[in-house]
Amino acid sequence: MVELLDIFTYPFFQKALLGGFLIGLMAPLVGAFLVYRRLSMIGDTLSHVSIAGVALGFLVGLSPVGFGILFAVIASFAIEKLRTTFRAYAELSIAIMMSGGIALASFFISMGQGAMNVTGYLFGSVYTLDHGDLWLVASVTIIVLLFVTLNFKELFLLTLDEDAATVSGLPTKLYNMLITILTAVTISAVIKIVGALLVSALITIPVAASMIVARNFRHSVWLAVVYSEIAVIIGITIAGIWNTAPIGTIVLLLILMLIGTIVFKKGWKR
Amino acid sequence: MNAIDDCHEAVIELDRVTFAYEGERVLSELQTTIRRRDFVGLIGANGAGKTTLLRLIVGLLRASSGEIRLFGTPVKQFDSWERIGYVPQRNVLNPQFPASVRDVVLSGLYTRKRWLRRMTKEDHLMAEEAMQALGIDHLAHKRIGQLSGGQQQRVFLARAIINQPELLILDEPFTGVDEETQISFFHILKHMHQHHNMTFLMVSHDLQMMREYLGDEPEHLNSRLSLYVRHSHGNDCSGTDIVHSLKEQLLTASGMRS
Repeated sequence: MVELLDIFTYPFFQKALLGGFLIGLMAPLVGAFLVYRRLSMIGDTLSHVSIAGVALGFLVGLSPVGFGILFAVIASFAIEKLRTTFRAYAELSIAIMMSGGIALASFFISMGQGAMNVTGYLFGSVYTLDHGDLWLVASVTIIVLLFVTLNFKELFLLTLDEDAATVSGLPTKLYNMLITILTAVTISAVIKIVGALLVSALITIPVAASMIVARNFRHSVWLAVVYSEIAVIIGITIAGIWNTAPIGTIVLLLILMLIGTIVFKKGWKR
Repeated sequence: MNAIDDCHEAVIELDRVTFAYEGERVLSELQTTIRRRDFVGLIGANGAGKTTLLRLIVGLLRASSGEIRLFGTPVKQFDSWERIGYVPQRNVLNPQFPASVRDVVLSGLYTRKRWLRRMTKEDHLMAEEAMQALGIDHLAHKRIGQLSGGQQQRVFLARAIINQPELLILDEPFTGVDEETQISFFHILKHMHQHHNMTFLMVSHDLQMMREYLGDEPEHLNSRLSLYVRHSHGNDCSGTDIVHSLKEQLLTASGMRS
């Protein structure tokens, strides 16, 4: 047992835990305001486009994460545009952007003739975090945390009913834009760590679980963070000790917790 | 200007308002004035443009030509939104949204002017009183989705009146609730109209509820939209506290609690 816990003394593992903790905090905070506004798929879409930016970054030899953020921000505004074009089929914009992102990524990767480490960004790598990665994640976490706590009332109003929020004088266009940019930045900042394919799970599943049992809105947002942190910390520890895929383990734990919550709620009602 | 003139100033003015959507004229050259303390029912069949007109009035849509003024100010420049209470259609609410009744009522106080300000004890007291006034205080901890249609309506009305608005706008409040609930809800609105310095604009496709109170002689906005108006006879413009007066009424009248 003592040997098993030795892993906590390794710097790479400590960094993984710290990075995981920060992501576990910010992902559901952003996610809550997407899920409750029925934009759950935005996370997945932006992560796929972000990969294209990462690939271009490798190709031209400049910051892959920077390009990832740029692509995700552009994509999020393109989605809004497409949503108004296909008003009655809004989900079409998601399908177009998602496949478009992967198409562009594969195009850039083929131009790089296999010299790029893009696959790392598909599944992520928790154990190769360096100080730069941690600083980036910590900065974005602080921005998200400040934005959500300082604007909690306004975000509630917007999420409950956008029209009524506008009529009460809230600058809803500005808030929509800020949420969009923040989502794009959050996703791009974490895909190197959690991977483009699973980032959406960290954003949506904790919110899904907390929605079932929350008593009020504030409760639902912070409970999602609690779910998320439990899964991240236990998941990374299990992965470290038994050598399983860390993000996959976290997501599976989240799904188990979601199922547990649904069963608990049903049983409790009876 | 004397006090009586003040009482009946224009609250909503439509000045040759035209709205076109994708080249098609939905509303054309609408002209009317709604004055302080009027109770106005905006009636029209589905697709007649009621919701469009309502969205134009509250600034969610821009008129293609013509002008809309709220309290004398063009809607583009209008920024005293706390003077307007808005009760949205019930179907905008997602039944699984995890908001409590108290969350929703309190959110009536979240206006731009309160950015960065925490809700105070007084704010919570105001929400409490608004809930008591509409007989929903015993539901404060419930999630909004667990309530009946009539109860949800009262929650949104409580949210709308918490700021003591001068103009109350209601979008199809009678859709999807039974007749008994409609009657008791309309009763509350009538009470507010008779006792307070408030103006009402209510959108509905259903005449029945309005006819008795608003009369049989509508003003036709166009061939499909009509306004049924009841003017207030009172010339008392002193603002009285809506929430407290409703609360008192609730104490004397029984059976208002649903």
